[in-house]
Amino acid sequence: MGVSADGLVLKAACERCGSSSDLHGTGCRHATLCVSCGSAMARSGDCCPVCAAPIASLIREYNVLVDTTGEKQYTIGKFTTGVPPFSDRENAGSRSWSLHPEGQQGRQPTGNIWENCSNRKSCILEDDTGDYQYQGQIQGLQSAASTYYLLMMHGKDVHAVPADSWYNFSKISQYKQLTLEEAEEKMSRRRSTATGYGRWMMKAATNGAAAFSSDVTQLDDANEGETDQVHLKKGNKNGDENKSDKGSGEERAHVPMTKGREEEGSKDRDFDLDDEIEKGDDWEHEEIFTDDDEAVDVDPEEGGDLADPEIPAPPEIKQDDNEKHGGVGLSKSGKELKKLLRRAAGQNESDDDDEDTDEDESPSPVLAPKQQDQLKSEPQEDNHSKPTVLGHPYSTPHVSKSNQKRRQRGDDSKTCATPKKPKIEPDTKKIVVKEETSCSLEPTSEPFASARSDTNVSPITVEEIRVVLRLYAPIAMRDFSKDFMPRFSPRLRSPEDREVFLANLRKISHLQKINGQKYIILLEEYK
Amino acid sequence: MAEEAKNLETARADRSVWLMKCPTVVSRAWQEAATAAASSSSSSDAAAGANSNSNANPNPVVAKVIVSLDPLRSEDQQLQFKMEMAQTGNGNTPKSYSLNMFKDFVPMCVFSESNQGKLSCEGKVGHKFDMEPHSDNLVNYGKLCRERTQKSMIKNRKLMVLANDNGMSMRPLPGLVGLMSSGPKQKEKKPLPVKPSDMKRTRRDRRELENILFKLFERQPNWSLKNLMQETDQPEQFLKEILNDLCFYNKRGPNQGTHELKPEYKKSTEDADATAT
Repeated sequence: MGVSADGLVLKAACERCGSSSDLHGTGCRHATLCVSCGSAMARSGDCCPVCAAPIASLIREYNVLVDTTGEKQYTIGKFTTGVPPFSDRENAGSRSWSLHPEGQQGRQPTGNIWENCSNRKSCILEDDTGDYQYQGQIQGLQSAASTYYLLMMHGKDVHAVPADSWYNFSKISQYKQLTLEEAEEKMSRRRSTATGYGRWMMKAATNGAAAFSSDVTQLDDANEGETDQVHLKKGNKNGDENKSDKGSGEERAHVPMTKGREEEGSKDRDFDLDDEIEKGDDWEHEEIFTDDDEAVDVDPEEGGDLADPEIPAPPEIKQDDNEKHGGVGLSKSGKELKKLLRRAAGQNESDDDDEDTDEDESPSPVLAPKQQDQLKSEPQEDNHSKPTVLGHPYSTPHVSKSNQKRRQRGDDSKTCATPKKPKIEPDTKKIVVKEETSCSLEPTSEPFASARSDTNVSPITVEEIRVVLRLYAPIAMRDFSKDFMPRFSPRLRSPEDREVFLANLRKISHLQKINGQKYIILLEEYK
Repeated sequence: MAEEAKNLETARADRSVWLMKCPTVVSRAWQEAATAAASSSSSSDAAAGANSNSNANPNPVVAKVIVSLDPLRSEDQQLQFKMEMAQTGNGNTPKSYSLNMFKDFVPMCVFSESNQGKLSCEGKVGHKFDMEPHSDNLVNYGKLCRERTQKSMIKNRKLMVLANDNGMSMRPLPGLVGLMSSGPKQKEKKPLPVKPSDMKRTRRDRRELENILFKLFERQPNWSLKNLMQETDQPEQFLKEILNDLCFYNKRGPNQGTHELKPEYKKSTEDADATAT
């Protein structure tokens, strides 16, 4: 039995009653007794028959062996919510448990699973049926301060094995696995929701084919039949569930109803947009036509101006009136159209201004400003026509027209010799102002002309300065900058000229204080 | 899933396993015993293969667990656990430990994995124990503690008394100090004569200085500030004040950076000469 000589050797049966269960030795290791006999003898105060010592305790001994093979690595798993039922006895049917590291489901694990778990610091323990799922996280490894040994019974010996690592297992919340009946119930619920869908389709479908509606009715019939079967199968509870399901179906049906309404609204908007686009096209056609009319009319006007300046004015006025009447007629068609008409009316007003400018320009006798005004009126027309080109199929004629206008501009620019081009805007007021400015420009041009004609390249000489100083000396410093310098300023263009002038001035004159003021006085040498 | 996860063998899941926390001394002894047993078993196998006794128990016996039952005590305190170590030859290390059993602890399972990769559940943790020396070893344990105390009382450092304590090597010689201080003194003497010359400048009377300036300008019409300072030997600020009154500064031209006497003072000198004649 025992390996060592000091080991307790138990006999085959109890010395007192002869039973072979729950055998213990006395404290002095001389007698072998069972639990009941030992306790009775202790209470009665009996003694050991060999050494006559009182019986105080019953003992058992086990040898502790250290595992040297090292075949297995042991890990302790903590289950805070309770140890899962691993053994088969507690379960009606046997279950197979599996363990795998987390995050490696797509691959086959390689090497030691615990090592993989420790690397990722988490692993999953689960049952094949899915009732139990645990996620384990590593808590700590064997430390030098404290070591844990696992003592396991093997026959009459105890094997001691060190524990490598600790894991905390926590239960994972999961969804229930359904039985066949439960699945059927859920399917019936889905069918009830389908009935709601059918109702929504019936209500929402305002446009559609008769065949589509007939299909919907067929679906309704099929769903009703299925629901009847469900009622037959289930009792009161099932009925309640069906009612709740129907309510949920109705609630779900509301949402698609609103969606359908939104869709209808969007469809109407689309139609409106189409109408707007078409009408816009027609309107822009009219605009293009008006441009053509203007272009055609302007040329004979120019010819007419040369012969008779007053005659061509009336037909322009008449055309303006015609356009205005057309706008008024169009505005009656609808509210939305009124907005577009207002925009078009604005454009018409600008056109009127352009024509008014033409009228104002015609009586003026000078020919050059006429050409300038015409040049600048044309780009305005281009500006008006440009946005229409973007969204229209009639882009080619616009391009050709713009090319023609560009050529005209080039020709006009070549003929014009005047460097200044006053800007004229469509407003009549501004045109009047510009005419005034053109009148005012005339007197200012004279001094510039005189300046240009009298310009001399030679610098100012000492004699000239001396002559001026003889006449006006002594000159106060404050008068120097006001009266003396302006006399020579037209000839002092560059800083070099100024330096030469000042140097010559210093040679001839000097500064002197008289009555607290500084005066430039000519030196006696140069008097 | 079958290929991904490994099946867990649960045949021995119902076994009861004891979890015991070991002192460091015990764990070291057991590890040494394990390594020694492993080497001895291999040698014995090599020497004689017929020894069935050695092969039967390759694991060495390192301790003995004694479960004692006291029938006179209450049922809660009946069981007591005691572990006696094998004779390892350590001097005063306690040889018997009492195992204190914890009653409340977190439910735990024991898993194992073999070298081939098989997983199995070895059982549940039924009891958790803590080890402490048994009361029988108090005398030896006391000796062990006393030895530790004596070891800690041994001193590693000692005080030494210096033999050469006359003081000659404890402080520097005074002669070196004198040599070191001679250098800077010589340097300090050099700049001294420059200072009194700077301090000697004193302001003269304003009229006297004006007369001197007039004479200088008679010799030369243009003077720079530096030259005037050299000639008159006057402070710069005082000289500038007077020059601003008597002269104007030429900023441009051939006499750039020089002072020139104002025409007022030129005429006055001429008038003075005229009046003198």
